[in-house]
Amino acid sequence: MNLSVVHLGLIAGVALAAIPVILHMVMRQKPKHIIFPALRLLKARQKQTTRRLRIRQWALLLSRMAIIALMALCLARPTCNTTAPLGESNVPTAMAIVVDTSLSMQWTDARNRDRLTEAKAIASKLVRETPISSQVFLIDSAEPIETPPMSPASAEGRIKSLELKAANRPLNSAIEAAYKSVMKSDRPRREVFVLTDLTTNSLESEKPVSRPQNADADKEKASPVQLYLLRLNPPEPLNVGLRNLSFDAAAAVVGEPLDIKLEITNQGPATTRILELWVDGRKREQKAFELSANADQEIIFRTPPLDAGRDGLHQGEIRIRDDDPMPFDNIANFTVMVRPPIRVLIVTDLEQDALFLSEALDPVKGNNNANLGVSQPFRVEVLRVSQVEDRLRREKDRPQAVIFNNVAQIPDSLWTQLNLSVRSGLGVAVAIGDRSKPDSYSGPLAKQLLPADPINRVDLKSDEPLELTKPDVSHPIFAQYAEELRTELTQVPIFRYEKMARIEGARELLQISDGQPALLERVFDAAVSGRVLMWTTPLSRRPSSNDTSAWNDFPRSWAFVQVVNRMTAYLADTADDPTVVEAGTDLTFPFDPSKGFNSALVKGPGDRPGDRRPIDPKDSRLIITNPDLIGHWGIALSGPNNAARSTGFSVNPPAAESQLRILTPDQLNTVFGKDGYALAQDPDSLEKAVGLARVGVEFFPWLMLLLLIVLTVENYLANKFYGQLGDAGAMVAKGQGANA
Amino acid sequence: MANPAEKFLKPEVIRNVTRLDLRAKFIVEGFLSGLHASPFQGFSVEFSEHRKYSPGDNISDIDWSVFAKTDRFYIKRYQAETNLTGYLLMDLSASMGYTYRQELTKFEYAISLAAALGYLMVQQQDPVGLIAFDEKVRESLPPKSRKTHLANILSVLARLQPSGKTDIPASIRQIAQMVKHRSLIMIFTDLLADSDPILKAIHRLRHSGHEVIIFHILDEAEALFPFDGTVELEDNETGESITVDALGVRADYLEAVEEFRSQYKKDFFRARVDYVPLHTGMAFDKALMGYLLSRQRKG
Repeated sequence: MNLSVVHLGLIAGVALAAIPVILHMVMRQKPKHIIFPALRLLKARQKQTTRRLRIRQWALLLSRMAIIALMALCLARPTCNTTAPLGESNVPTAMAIVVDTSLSMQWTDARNRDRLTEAKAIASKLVRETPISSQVFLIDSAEPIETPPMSPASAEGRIKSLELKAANRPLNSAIEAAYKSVMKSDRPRREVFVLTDLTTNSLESEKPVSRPQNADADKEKASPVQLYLLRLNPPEPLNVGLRNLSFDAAAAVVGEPLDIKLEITNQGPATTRILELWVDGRKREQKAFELSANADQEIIFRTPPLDAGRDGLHQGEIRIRDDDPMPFDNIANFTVMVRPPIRVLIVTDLEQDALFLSEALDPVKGNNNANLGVSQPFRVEVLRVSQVEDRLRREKDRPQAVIFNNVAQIPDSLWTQLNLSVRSGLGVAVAIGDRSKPDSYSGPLAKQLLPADPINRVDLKSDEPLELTKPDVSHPIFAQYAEELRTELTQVPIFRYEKMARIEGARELLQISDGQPALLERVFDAAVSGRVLMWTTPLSRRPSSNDTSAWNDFPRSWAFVQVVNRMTAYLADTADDPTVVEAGTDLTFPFDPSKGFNSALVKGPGDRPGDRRPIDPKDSRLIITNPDLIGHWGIALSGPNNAARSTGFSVNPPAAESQLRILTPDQLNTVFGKDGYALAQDPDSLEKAVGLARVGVEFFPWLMLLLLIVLTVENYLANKFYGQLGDAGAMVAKGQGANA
Repeated sequence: MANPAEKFLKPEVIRNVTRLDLRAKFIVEGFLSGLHASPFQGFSVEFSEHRKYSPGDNISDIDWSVFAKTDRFYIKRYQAETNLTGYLLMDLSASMGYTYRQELTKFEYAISLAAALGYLMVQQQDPVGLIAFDEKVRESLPPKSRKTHLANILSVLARLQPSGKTDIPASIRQIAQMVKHRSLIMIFTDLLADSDPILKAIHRLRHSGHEVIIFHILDEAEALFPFDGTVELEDNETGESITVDALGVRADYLEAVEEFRSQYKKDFFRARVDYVPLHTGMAFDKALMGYLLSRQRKG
């Protein structure tokens, strides 16, 4: 805080406090000579009187000097402010206005006025009130880049065109861009206004906003950039919203229902909401949910059986029927690509080695096709090694994934066939067990396919088993339920495993707790190619751990079902088809280049025409960047010879936007520094904050009060010291004495 | 002061009367006319040459002419019985010649008062004498009760001039040796000297059997200190001077004056000496009342 005065010249008036002293010196009267015979009475008390008199005279002199000094100070209007002495409102200003256009600014008050409209009104007022010679930098939080300066009139027009943007960014970058913009300006006053609801998603609270330093330190000191935050948050944030929609299955299967999971968040008192399920434009179901106060709740909707439709594409929404102040999160969109069940071959030498895999992938088949009411995304065939080669060669019902579990030997001819099939898109998983002969898995043909070479078997004591650890949660197999899997896998006992030497380029996805790999992957660089996974311990178990063929107890864990399901979908290349994303998330759609697609029509929600993009014939994927419109998107790939494929995806609001929790002062201090900003709660307090920074705290009223006090003291002292004169003089004039 | 004669009790009025004999007459008449209407009316009877008859008094002393006028018995008093010899002691110090407002100096006030008292005493056929002193006795008239003697007293009083230093104790000691009979000693002074020697000298007068009245006369400015601004005050007797802020020292000075008078009052009370503090702005009746009270005790 700096002390400054509005009228600098008048501060010199403080020097006038010397007037009483000067008057005393210059106009010092020549003492009046008086004969006074009673001098002896005066002399008797002279010492005491002189001391007391001197104190009184000093007190009076000081009080009179103080009166003059205070009067001068009052007129000079001293102020305490945070900035340079540029208190005048007509100072040309470099004014950056950062407007938060994130979806949480949609919150609408009782006057049916949302936060963004409020922010725009305030921004317009700010630019209207700034001098026309000012430069305005308008920065949308969704586009946090430095902008060229505008005149206040142009800025006002631009402000009107601001609108909510689902794909938004934390304000940190936008504010940094604002700083950079105003620092380049030569206007003497530089200010950054941030109009936001200051919800927790509006700023990265752990990331301080860096304030660029001006090379000219004097200029920086004379005109530092002032930052004003206007918090436009609702007084009572009430909101019910939907978020984090996902599917409770590895893939949607033709003719089967699909479970859709999502969270419903309630900020406010306990309430009831009716939710509706809409699929392909038709309402299919509605449910009422009791919502606890200020709590999140997970809910599940089950779709009706979904047909193959046009390329299996289905799009729908889950909607909250009642309105609330923030409508954007009352709808959760989804797109489902329904596929035929994934055909999986399980290859084992022994029946018992196929048992757990089959049960995990296709429980209906394992229970004699009983109606269990669960989805059947996989169709499992259990074969012996000798049957696999013919099965792979057969065109009809060609399998999408093959799992070799504890197979003793794979003939070279099969390795050859597998090499061909993998390069045509087949996914292969190989699990080594007690029956597996290392030589069969380390031959030249095997080496062309497998991610690792067997070295030796590690036989651990059964009472001191190892565990599985360090799953690669960035991998699609472990991405879902990552935290739960990380914990659960450490409970899986491993008794024996095959120590492997990883080949170059292979990726380790899971470890045994002694640091050796448990699961490895090899991906082949080609337009279409399959994936090969290799387990160093089998995907089956034996009843007794003392059995030398018992290598682990993995199948007893729920993690086994999850991992095997995700692994098989991954092998079949169906697990990572993006169908539901948050706004602003890039998407990649793979397609078969052999189809010869040469263009794609990408159409977002609403009536806007689609965006047609050319496709390079060599390309095997279409990338959609930063989809910012909430709703359903469609993609139509086309090429010569009537080649066509339809797909789509749905964009939902970022889940964090539904949270209206406000950043704490500590978090703001972390981001901006304790004295780096002025926080206003409403337009009035913003005006005060700006006034405080520009003009500062005026001391005028306090100085006036002090002046009155000093005047009173001076008057009191003067009366007390010399007041008796009037009475005595009057008495003498009347000829009356004290003893008369 | 409803009676026109009483206006002559005011110093500002009496100063316009230049003749001292007239001053004395006017003061006394003004005082007595006021006294008739006052609660002290009895004094007028005491001052006459008659007193009420009381059983045991000689019947032949009854003044029948008064009885004829008043229908009451009064007897004639014997002159020898009532005569009181009085001495008027005038302080001639230079400080007594001081006046701030250019009206009556302390000395003029003193001689006016002395003349009035002389007039009053002669009227009662009390012998009255006059002694003027500074460092020693300068003038003296023996006490006589003839009316012609009053003219002598007034004549001396009129030509006295205060000047130079004074030595009150030495002068009083000298006077004590001069006055052989028990008398009423009336001293007109400003007492601006060391107090202890003065007190000792007064005590000596008392031991000689004299009644003493001190008319302590200060100038009005000395009593009230009505100055303003920075003033250089000079003692005209010693030549000493100091420069002071008058407003600043006023309260302290007045306190010192009060203490000065209080101390004398206390000491004189112990010595059975009447002490009448006066200043030149005060009416003369207070001084005369002081005399009469003393006269009454003596009578």
